[in-house]
Amino acid sequence: MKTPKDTDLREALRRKFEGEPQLPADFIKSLTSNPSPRRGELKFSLIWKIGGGCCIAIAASVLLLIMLNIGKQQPEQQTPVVAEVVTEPQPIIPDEPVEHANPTKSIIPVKVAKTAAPKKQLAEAELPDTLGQGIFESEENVRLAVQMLSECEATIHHEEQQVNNRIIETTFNALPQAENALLVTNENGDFEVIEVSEQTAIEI
Amino acid sequence: MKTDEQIVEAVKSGRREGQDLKVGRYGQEVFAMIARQVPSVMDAEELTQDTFLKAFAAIGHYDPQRASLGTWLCRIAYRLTLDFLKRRRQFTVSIEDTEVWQTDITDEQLEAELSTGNEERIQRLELLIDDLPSNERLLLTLHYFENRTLDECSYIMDATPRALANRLYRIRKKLYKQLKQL
Repeated sequence: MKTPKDTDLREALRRKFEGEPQLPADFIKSLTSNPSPRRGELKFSLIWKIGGGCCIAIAASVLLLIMLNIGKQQPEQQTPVVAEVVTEPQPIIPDEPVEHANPTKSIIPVKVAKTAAPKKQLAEAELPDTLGQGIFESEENVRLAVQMLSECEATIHHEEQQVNNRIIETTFNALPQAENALLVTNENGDFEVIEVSEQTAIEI
Repeated sequence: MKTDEQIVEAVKSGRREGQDLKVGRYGQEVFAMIARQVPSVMDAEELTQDTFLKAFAAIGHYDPQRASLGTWLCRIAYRLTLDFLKRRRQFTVSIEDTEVWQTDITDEQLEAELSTGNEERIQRLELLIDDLPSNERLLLTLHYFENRTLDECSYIMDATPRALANRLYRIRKKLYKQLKQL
């Protein structure tokens, strides 16, 4: 029988690997019942990682799109509806004269400025659903503004009338008047000095 | 006791008994071979699992004429371990050291130098084995520790017996040179 050569090397290897680790006793059970659990966990976690990453990416994209949409819509929605009212005493020919509620009162022509036109026209596909609603809202605002203006006009007119009447009355009382001069109120409520016949004056 | 052929037939027919017998008989052998190559026991267990799962799946390709069932399993284990070490970048290939190659020593002289029975030399060799690249360490363990023939080693490591003989000679020469340097 041939004697093994390199005995030192064989002995070194034997000592080194003599106490090598043993396969766990439940290895067969784990192999047949649950093959490669760590790999299964790895796949599971990998699926979750990929799925989660996709969800986050989609959510971020949607959020970005929403933010961009809001960014586009906000300037138009915030476009101020300006009702410029001209109350100068000089008559101005209005673009669209507004009918006064009370035809007996003086009509001050009102110039209603139109809503400032948007600088950038949106493409048809980008038009928001609330676009028409904005027009109706602006018309409502104009109507309210006109109504408030009318009320202001009426108040101012009434006060002017009172001041004028007081002036007329004071002047009438302070100055010597003819015997047949009378202070009366006309149909508009203004004071007027009129001269009547002597018979009428005696009756009054 | 069932023969390898009976175990293979049982595995082929999908019987649980066949798988249990196969793992029970060759599990430790395969695990030990892998554990000598990879540092972590858990990795070795996982690679052993993978080896058997692959073997169960590919049992139809097993040819008893070429190698025994144990050797066939070791071949699968070797390939999986090699892939694992490459993935982990722990696979090292020895660079041809010209100084070692040019060392003028015959096979007989080498055999004499590595068969002294000197305790100090044996302990030094234990340390030097750790520093060997994994494929060289595997060849040494298969041939010197598991007493496999060069034909079996060549089947497991997918190399010709002559190439492995040359590789063994170089490894021994390298160990001899390092022993001289210490």
